[in-house]
Amino acid sequence: MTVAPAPALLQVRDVTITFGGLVALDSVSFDVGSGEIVGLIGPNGAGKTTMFNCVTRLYRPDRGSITFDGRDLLRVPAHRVAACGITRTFQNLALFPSLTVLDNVLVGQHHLLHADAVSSSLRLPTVVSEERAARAEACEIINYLDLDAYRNTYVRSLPYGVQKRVETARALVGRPRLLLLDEPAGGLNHEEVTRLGEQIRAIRDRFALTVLLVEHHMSLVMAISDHVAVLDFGRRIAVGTPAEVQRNPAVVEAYLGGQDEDGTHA
Amino acid sequence: METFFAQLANGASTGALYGLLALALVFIFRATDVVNFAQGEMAMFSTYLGWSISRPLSLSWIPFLGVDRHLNLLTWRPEVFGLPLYLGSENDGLTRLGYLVVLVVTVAIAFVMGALIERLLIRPSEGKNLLNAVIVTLGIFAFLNSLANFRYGPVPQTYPAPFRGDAVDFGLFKMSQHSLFALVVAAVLMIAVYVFFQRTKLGLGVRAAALNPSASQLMGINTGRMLTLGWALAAAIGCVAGMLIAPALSGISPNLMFGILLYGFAAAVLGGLDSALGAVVGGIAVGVGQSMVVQYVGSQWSDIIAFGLIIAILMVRPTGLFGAPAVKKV
Repeated sequence: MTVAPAPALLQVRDVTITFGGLVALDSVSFDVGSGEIVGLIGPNGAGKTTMFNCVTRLYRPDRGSITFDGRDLLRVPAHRVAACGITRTFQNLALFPSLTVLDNVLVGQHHLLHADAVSSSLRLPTVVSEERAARAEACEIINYLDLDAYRNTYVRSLPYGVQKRVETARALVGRPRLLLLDEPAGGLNHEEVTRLGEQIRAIRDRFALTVLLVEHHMSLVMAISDHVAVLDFGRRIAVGTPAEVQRNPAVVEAYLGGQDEDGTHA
Repeated sequence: METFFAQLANGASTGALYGLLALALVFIFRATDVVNFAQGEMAMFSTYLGWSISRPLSLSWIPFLGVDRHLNLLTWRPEVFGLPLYLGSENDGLTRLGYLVVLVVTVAIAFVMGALIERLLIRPSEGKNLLNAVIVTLGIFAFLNSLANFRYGPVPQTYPAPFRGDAVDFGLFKMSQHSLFALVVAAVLMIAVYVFFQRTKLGLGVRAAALNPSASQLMGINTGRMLTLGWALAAAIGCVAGMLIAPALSGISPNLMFGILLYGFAAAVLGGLDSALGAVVGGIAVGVGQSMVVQYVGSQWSDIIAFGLIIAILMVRPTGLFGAPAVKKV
């Protein structure tokens, strides 16, 4: 698969995490190469979001290692992950409902601004210009994702699909090198999903990103992913190109034999 | 009619101070869901610290300075080439500059005290039952009150105020200089708080951390530090309220903030415990209401009406005037 000799941007090795007696992830390993779009799929409860939470350090794995660009992520506290170059969206949205769209997006830039408490309360010129630049960049991304009309609207009053775009904007404005998308197609209709696929590719190219994608929508994952890793009951059962994964008997078994899911066919 | 407007003005001035205390309560409630019962006593204690440093300070422990040197910040009169830099003074020698220095130093001490209380006493009960943290604040309340009684005694001490001259005549009514000063300081502080939260990156970080801690962490916000900052700011704001209230009452005593805190609670509940704007509006409403009741109904009714109001609001409209309805997702 990855022929390039350079080590992958994100390397997940033997990650294991248990909650009580439940083994949520069992020695999971996979790579995400720089510039790739990688899909992470599996039936419900397979551990996909748990994997995201380990990478973003909301969870601490019991065993294993996660390396990002040569750096041991498990030694990084959650609030430094964004500064390392990783941002994410959430399956059930984790926006700030009582803030405006602009404020929500500005929060995503928090780690890029360096003003400390003293200089920012004195409103030093460097602080003012830094915050102005931040605001301009936030507005640019808001425009890019067609959120301009909602800029000063409170997030709680927006439709679900728009809120998902706000979350994407908040993740993008942090200038990530790796963007984690947790079920971006959830709640979207067929037409919107098609557009989303094009958009994810466009975002990857425009912002020179690497994307790790958790998604149930098989047609979307198979259409845009360079590689796919499949989880089932906390184990990685397959990894490969979309075509390889679709032919893999273990994957077919997991989906058809296991639960009533979207199906494996593109 | 003149009495009416005078009561209105004085009520607004006291009410602005209730509003400050309510603002401090709202800060902490929004960030941690904890009602800080120690808010008043923290303000009282830092106000006492301000009183201590406004006394002549003995410098005799510093070697080579001469044994009997004393530093009195309040009557500090620096001059440059005969030009007075002390911004005017009162009859007893207190200079405005001296007061300003005492105010700034005291507020800085209160800020650090608030941060330490959060780090050392509140942090350990974080993530456990909310009641734990509330009980801890009750403990701080009792501790600071006893400590003040032990250290400073129960007798009220006179407290410095920078403006004590004749009342200012506005035509319709007269207002004491101190009331006017308190109103102006409270208004400036409220605007500063608004600007901090609405216009600065740090203020946005504090708000975000209060709304969704784990998402905020992934935005690079150090949520623990934001909590500490919230407590420190609340303590500093309470301290300003205490320093302005003490001269308006009979001076400072360990029970100075007891009644004030209850009115601050009334203000916060009226405005909605999670609304900063509500705290300010609620504070002024409670202050004006109180002075009207004292003037036209009788002073013995003032507490009864205020606390009857808290109970009534909690029964009829528990979110207050500006609070967001509590929606709990299960």
